[in-house]
Amino acid sequence: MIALDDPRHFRLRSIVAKGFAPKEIYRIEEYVKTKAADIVDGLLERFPDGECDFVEQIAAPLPLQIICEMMGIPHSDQAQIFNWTNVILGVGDPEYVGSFDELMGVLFAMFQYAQALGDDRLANPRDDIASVLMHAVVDGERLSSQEFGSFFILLVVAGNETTRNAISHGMKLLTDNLDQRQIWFDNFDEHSRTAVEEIVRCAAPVIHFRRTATEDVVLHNTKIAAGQKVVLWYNSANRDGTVFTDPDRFDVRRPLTPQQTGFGAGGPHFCLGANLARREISVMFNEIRLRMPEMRVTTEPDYLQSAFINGIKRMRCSWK
Amino acid sequence: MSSTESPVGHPIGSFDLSDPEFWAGSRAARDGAFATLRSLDHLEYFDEWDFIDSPLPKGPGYFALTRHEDVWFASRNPQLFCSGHGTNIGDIPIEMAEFIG
Repeated sequence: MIALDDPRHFRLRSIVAKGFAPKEIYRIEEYVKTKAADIVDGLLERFPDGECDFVEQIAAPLPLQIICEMMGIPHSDQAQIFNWTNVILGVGDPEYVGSFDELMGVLFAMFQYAQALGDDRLANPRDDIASVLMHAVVDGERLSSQEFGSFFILLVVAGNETTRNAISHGMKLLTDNLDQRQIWFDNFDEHSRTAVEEIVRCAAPVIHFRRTATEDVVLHNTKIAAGQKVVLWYNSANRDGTVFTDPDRFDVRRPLTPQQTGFGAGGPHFCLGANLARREISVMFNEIRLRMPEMRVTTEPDYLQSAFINGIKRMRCSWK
Repeated sequence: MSSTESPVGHPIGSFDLSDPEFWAGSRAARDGAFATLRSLDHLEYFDEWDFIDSPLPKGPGYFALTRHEDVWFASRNPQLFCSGHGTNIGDIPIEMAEFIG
């Protein structure tokens, strides 16, 4: 769907937006709280020394479990989904990347998995968003199971890895900027809206997307011919000192306007899951603040080598 | 985010956004390169990288939009800057595009 234009894009987006309607999000939000609390329960029990890998144990499980819950995916399949997403988004990083064939194999396996899920929910609707999506009708049309498969891949990739990385970057930022951490954690609800947006601004979890000029156009004194590519570097837009005061500073009270571009810079493709992601980030840090107040990052992050995803592969943390 | 570097240290020609090594390098150097790009009075053009094991032909290259204003404009004018020809830098093959939708 990210590589489509209106009107087809609009039609598909209108259908999948039903999966993100307030009623569905409310239900998921309740689940986010439960899941975040479960994660911390597990950590306190399994790591009596108070040390673990932050990405593997905290940042990664939450978004993946939320998406699996939304889609009604059984727990026994979650590890498989997790491994698939790593292959897809690790493209470029020597640690993850396999051959082109391996990547195609993973995409195909995931697509088939989702298609089967969609077919099942069409025949046997349940109380999950997959069923809502498969039965939604917009202008007399509904999603084909193939379109559902494509959307599933987008959701798992876009909604899983990006939120994971935002949470990891957030923990690093809150470790490096103790004054900001104190400001936020002392008045958590008051500053959550701006603090979460600031984490996403600094992290820019998706580094770029590309567009193609449809006609000759001049932008910033430069002639762009029809058919030429432009790349939107969200990381850079978020550090533009002509727009953001002191852009290299992490400021949990930074005003919400001008808008940061970590969810995209507006227009028809603006991140559909932005509100859910914001919710996941703030709930996770609230849980950390209340139950692991000493939580901090203790090693330099091991970054993903990618021009596309600002990923953190590993990062040790301690809460004792 | 403590990495504030003068654009002066990262002149055009000293870095390549398409080079995988650029993305493996230091975060400070990365930030410096983008600061340079934002300071220009024009859009810089980058060749695409020739990935050795890629089954795809090397693409023609791209203009880098690095200022907030330009990213904002392109994103909000889809009639001028469309997504339907792909949203990753390289043109992905049709069989993969089908899965990604």
